[in-house]
Amino acid sequence: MKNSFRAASLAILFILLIVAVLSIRPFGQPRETAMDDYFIARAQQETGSNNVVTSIVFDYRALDTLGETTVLFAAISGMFALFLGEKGGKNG
Amino acid sequence: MSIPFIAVIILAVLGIAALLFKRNMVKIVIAINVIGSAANLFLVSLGYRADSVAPIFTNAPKLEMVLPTPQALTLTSIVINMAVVALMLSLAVLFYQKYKTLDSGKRRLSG
Amino acid sequence: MDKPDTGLSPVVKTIAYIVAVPIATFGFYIALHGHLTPGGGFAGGAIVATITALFLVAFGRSIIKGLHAKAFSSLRTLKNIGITAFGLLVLASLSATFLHRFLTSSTWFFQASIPFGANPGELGTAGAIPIMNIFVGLEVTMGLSLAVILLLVIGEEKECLENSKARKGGQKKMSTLFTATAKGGKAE
Repeated sequence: MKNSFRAASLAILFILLIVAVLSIRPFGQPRETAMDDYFIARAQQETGSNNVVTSIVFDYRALDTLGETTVLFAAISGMFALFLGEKGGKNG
Repeated sequence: MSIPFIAVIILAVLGIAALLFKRNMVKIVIAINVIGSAANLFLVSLGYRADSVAPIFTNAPKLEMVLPTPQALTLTSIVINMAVVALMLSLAVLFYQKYKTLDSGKRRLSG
Repeated sequence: MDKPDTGLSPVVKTIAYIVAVPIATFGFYIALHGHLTPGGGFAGGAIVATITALFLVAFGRSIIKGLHAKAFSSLRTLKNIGITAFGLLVLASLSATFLHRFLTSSTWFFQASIPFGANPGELGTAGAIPIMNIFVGLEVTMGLSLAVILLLVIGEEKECLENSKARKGGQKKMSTLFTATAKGGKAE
């Protein structure tokens, strides 16, 4: 009973996603490319990096990358707290 | 009809199916990782431009390049996915050490 | 845990020693050439961190018993140094328009100019991007190594970090802390 309900909801989700992908633009033909064309045209002059992806990650969106490394740092710190933390709470 | 988007949907639905029907915690972690991979594949395939090369100027054969921003965001997404999976795996290890089972339906973490 | 886990056969251990050097070299190459080829600090750091996983598989948990608590915390310190330096670089870049101009006053620090368009690529370009790649690679390497070590340490019941000195501050050993955590769920 419960499993059939889950399967039905999963099938509905699958059908909705298929309908969504049938209405999306064709693969390989992006529509809005102004920002990326700017990056490709100007990244070498403005950052000096041959790799446009690296120049975006570490230069144009450097604050984003700082947040990303902060997430990684927080995850490792959470593992420290879980494994080697002080004894506390009623369950220790 | 575009094949990569269909692959994205199949990956995402497989991950959600595993989330719905499996109770082993390691399998749940793998399912979340698969869903994250579906998101990464969707981002990368959104940025593809036909007949283009990777956006790297080192020995580039031609100057028509795919969109670089979705690839940068995919890099962010991969690292965050990895951090989340590491944290969830450590929670699963602690759960196993406490209750000697990996079945998420047996016990609750609060008990 | 009937017998101590001392790892795989001597063949695997020797090959692990031999293979570790090319892996580290490849990881450093990927991290340093992040502005020229695909890769960067994250990918290079992940590659270098696989050496930790390789040694843990090859030598078993016996390698953890030899791991001094001070070495363990120095991994943490290196990780903190990496993320702090990277954050300072990013915050310092807010004052400049782009990071390329951030260190522009010096002429020897990754400041060679490149021809625009397709070119063979030269290592000493791209301004602050290689430096940020190095620090991010440091942070990712130490973070992933710590993650792998922690996931394996917690599986060891008593002997882990047995010969480790007391951590600074409190007089508790890390093994004591660990045992308290691992046995916390048992009934009193």
